[in-house]
Amino acid sequence: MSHCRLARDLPAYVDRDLPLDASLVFEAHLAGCDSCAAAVAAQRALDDALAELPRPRPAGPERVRLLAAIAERVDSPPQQVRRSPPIRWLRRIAVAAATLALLVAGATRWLPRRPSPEPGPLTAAEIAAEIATESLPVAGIDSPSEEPPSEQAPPSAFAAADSEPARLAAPRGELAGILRRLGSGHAAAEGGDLLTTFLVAAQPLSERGVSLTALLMALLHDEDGELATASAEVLGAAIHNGAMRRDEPGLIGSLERALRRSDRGAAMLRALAAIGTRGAFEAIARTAAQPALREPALIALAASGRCDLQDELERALVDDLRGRADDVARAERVAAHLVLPHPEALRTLGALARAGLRESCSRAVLTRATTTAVPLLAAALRGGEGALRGESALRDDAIALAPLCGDAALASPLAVAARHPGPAITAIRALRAIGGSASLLALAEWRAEASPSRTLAHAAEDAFSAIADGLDRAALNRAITATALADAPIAAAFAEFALVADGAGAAPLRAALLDHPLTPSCLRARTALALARGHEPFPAARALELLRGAAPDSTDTDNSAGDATGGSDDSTGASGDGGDGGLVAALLVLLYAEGHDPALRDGLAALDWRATPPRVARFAAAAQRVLTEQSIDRSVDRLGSLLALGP
Amino acid sequence: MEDDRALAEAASRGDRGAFDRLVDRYLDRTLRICVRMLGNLDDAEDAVQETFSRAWSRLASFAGHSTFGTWVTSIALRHCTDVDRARRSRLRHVAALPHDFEPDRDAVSRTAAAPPRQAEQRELLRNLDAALAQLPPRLRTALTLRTIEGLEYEEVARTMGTTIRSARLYVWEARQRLTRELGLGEERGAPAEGPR
Repeated sequence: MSHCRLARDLPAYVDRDLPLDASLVFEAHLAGCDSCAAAVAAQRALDDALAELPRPRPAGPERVRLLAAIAERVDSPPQQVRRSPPIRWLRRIAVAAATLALLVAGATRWLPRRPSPEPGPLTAAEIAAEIATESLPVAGIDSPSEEPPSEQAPPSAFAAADSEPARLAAPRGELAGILRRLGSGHAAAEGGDLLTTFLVAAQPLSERGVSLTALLMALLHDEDGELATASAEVLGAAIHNGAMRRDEPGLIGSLERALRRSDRGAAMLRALAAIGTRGAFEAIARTAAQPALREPALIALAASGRCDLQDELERALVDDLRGRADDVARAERVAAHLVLPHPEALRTLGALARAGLRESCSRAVLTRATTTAVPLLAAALRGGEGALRGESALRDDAIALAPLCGDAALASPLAVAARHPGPAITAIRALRAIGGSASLLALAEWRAEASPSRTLAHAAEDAFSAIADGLDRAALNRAITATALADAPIAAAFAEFALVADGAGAAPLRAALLDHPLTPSCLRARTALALARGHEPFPAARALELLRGAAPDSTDTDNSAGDATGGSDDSTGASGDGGDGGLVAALLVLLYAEGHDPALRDGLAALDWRATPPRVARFAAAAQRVLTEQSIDRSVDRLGSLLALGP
Repeated sequence: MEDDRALAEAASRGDRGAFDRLVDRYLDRTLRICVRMLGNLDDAEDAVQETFSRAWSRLASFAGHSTFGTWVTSIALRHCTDVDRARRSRLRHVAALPHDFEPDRDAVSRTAAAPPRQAEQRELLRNLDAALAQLPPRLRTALTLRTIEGLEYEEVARTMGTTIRSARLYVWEARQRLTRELGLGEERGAPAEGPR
């Protein structure tokens, strides 16, 4: 390390943390100082090497898998986590020892503290001293530099120190006694306590160098079913807690052989599930062929969420669903344990639904795994990342399952799915089933881009009406104020749906569209015009208010109202974006023409048309000419054409 | 993009969607840090899952004094330290990643870094990986957060529960040790004075 006078700036320079002026000074210094230059070069070489280190960034299906695993862990209580922290009692001893060490060393100053004003210069020597004392646990951050000797006991207890069969006969009886005293009622979730108790009791055997693994594996085949069960549960707990290797030679085979006896099969299955390797689950899958163990074996497969054995699980369950009533009932009980960590699991659920799985069962699976099910369904509906491209069958299954999930987040993906001619009608029905403001918007999104057949259009209109019927004012307002409606085509589609909607929800929807301050102006204007055409009551005061509030149209550069007497429609003019003023004017003129309302007449007369947007004035003039030249009915039609609304 | 604080507040009120968005936002960084602390992808994935599980259960205690990212990183680091201590097997290095994991093509590099083609460069990376694993946890943490993840010193200090000055010295000490270990031109001798 350089010892020249500017060497103190080297760390900050390397870290690009020097002020500019000091950095320039140091750079100039480098030109004449070989030692600093060499030090900088070494650090730059280190930086280059650090930049080359692999930096995992999960993408695609792997990201979906990891996110799903996180979601599942968040949903699971801490004691069900597979890889659990060290055994509780050992941790308590470690913490107690650490606490004592803290008190003896008076080392409370090593406790972590929040960033605070800098306490003063701190030298590297002090830091080195702090690093050297990292053997002291600090508020839960325990040192990795030393491990309490007692933590070595669990691995060595299960390590095969002495597994000669001839020498195991006596200890076998001793171990059997220990297991009988433990009892066989411990559930896997209490594996930590079971293992601790077992290890304490079996310590004399361990100290004599007896292989507990060999003994326990031998006891799997004991005539006493309870003894075999207890042995399997201890093995499972040891694997679960990381005290025993998952790839212990012969373990899977031994468990699978023991499975053939029905008095211990369930415990063997749990131990295999605790191992969790593909080999273990393949053994479980083979067990499904045994009638007595079919259900627990399939449950273990279903709950594992393993992608690589999904086909076997699906085949077994579809077979059962097509069988007798008992088989169907078993399949439903197994299906209740399905997890959805990946698209293949969703495919399985779809296959089961097609094979006759009751909707209530599918719904239970989906609602239990909402955090994974919704992204999977959405991906399948969109047919994009996370789903298998081109898999129209998976998309069809997703459309069928979406209403059972009922999540509003699926509305937009369903709109995407509805763009495909084949599933369009079912996707629209699914939107109707899901309901909610999100479904209203999704229908508008779909309509803005689709060119549907008359049948499909009517189905969409019916769906929109039905959904609107079921919404309260707050939900309608949410739909109306959604940012999606800032998109003009979507807003226009939404308004079209609202204008033709019937049923109890239609009038409140149109009223909500009209009165909500955040309603896009074109949407409000088109609705107002529709109300007028429908002769629905509309207060003159409100009409004047709307006219006064019409904003100047920044695109007002042409005669966007078109030729009132015979020109072609200009659908890009008065309608759509910014057409508020023109439409409101049309509304006012219609009201004036129809009702000769004195208040309105006076209000119009008092209005300074020079202050209104030019478009408004021009359109009002054009509308006035229409009204004076034609009958009221034809005026309405003509104005509607001008506004590209049609007759 | 939604503000982290707003999402965290929503999540603390039970909005799972808000929490999922935070998870997605900080998944990559948390995974990288756990890989660096634990040395292999399998353990790191498990640590990431545990980290976010704990974050969810402790949202009520997230007072917003630090950023959500800092808070989650501190949870991850504490968990990694626990795991590292309890682990019995040797660290496996991160040499082989599954094909679904993309190399970070936007990795900050002071040169136009190309994948290592020469045996010497590959050897350096192996040695670097091993040397990082041998650093004391505080030094490894500080270097990971500052130099690899590019966090500001204030955030490094908050995450580690120490002062900014200490964080700077940890990073420098880590750099010194690595360059010495790798023989990158540093003279052997007295430790550097450290930054001001």
